[in-house]
Amino acid sequence: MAQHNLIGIGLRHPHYKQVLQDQPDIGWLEVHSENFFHSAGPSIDFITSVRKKYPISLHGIGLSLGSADGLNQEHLAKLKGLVDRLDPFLVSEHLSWGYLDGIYIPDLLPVPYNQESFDVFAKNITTTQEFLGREILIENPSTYIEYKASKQHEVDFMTSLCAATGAKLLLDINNVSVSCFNHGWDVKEYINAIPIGLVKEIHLAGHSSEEIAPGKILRIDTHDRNVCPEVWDLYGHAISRFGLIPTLIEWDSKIPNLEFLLKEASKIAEYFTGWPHAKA
Amino acid sequence: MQKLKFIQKAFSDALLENGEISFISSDHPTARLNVYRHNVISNMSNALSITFPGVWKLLGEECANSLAHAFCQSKSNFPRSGCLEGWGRGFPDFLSQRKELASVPYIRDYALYEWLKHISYGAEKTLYNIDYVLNNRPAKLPPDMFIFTSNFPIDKIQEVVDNPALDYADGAGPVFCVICRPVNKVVTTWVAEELYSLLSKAARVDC
Repeated sequence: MAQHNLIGIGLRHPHYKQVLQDQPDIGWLEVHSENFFHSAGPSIDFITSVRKKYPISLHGIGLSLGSADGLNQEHLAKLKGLVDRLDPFLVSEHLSWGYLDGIYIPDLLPVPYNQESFDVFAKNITTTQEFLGREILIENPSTYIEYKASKQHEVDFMTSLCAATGAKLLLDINNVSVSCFNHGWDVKEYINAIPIGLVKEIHLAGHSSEEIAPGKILRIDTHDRNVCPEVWDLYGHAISRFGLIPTLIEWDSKIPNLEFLLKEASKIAEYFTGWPHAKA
Repeated sequence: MQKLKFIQKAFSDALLENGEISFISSDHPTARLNVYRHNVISNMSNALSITFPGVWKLLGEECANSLAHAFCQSKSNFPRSGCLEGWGRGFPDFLSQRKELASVPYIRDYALYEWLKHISYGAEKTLYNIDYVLNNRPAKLPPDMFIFTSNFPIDKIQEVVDNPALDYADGAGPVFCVICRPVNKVVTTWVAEELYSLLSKAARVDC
């Protein structure tokens, strides 16, 4: 894969028409799977047209791989329908849960990192991969709490899970920055604990900060601004370890115009200097 | 009960019903949990604003967001799946119960009209000629076709939504319409009561 083709953006509704009309020079596009779960209609026609022009990555936010209740089979079937239709080059989900007792709580909720959670994730990831007939990527979350029931560090939990299931890692550098800050973890130790060869996609995004008590700051994964210098630096560290990997700018709130987003994505290329070819 | 299930139930209760938070080891647990609470409500409100754009225009963003937040306070209104595209059917009825909306008695019917357009947009595709369907009273309507009636002049209200410079004038009700997506755009055809009655025998009951 040529270096330039490794750079992508998250495709969101405000840019749908313009992307099809202008066909901007970008390597690939990522969409939220659930936005295209209709069996037909304009949204399906749109994404099918986009797929003819660009490689697509499907990024799920609602499968709830960490739910003790197991997977929602209807959701999984819709995902498979979309995967079969689009033949995406990557399919990803999150290390999180959101489904309980027939109710879906629409956020990426954290799990305790212990053996029981590990078994639940391993079972649900294996079921998903077997049902889809392909490998999936798991994204590290931004988290704001830690559980008393946790027995393992997040990065060890996640990499062990990948080893057990054959899933790969979608490394969100911004989430590493947010979670490490919120829990007092070391960002470089986090990155360095991930085995080389496991990361198949990288996300970059902006975050905000909020004072939750006098002198106590929490970082919030808002996806509403430019990637901050600290996250760019960490990205440089990550690719020096993992090599060149498909990298994406995510922007989900206060979405700027497409030109601005593409300009932000073009900064990724600056970190590719000196690399003769992609390892991905 | 599994321990994980117990913990997830505790998290859900803490988030949605201010249940106890002793499962959290971090400092300032309430403030940290509030980040998730805010995310959940924001995600749901945002989904409603996409499904009901005209309601947001009619009520104004601040009022509509406030009502959406109120709707999302009740666990019974939460989605049943991770796909929010198909969620929000309960919002029109919720609006009809709000005392502060007494001055906009048509809002429930208008929201229901928007809901039907929303589900028509994502319905299965079938090829048909709309005039043929309207003139031949089929035994079953195509999956993207819905009929709707209201005692309020929803047609006139839609004109105001489309063109805010217009003043809302009391129009005549009742109104009857057919909503469908013959190609790639949802269209509304306002019809006579007689045709509505004939089509209603073939239709799913939505209003």
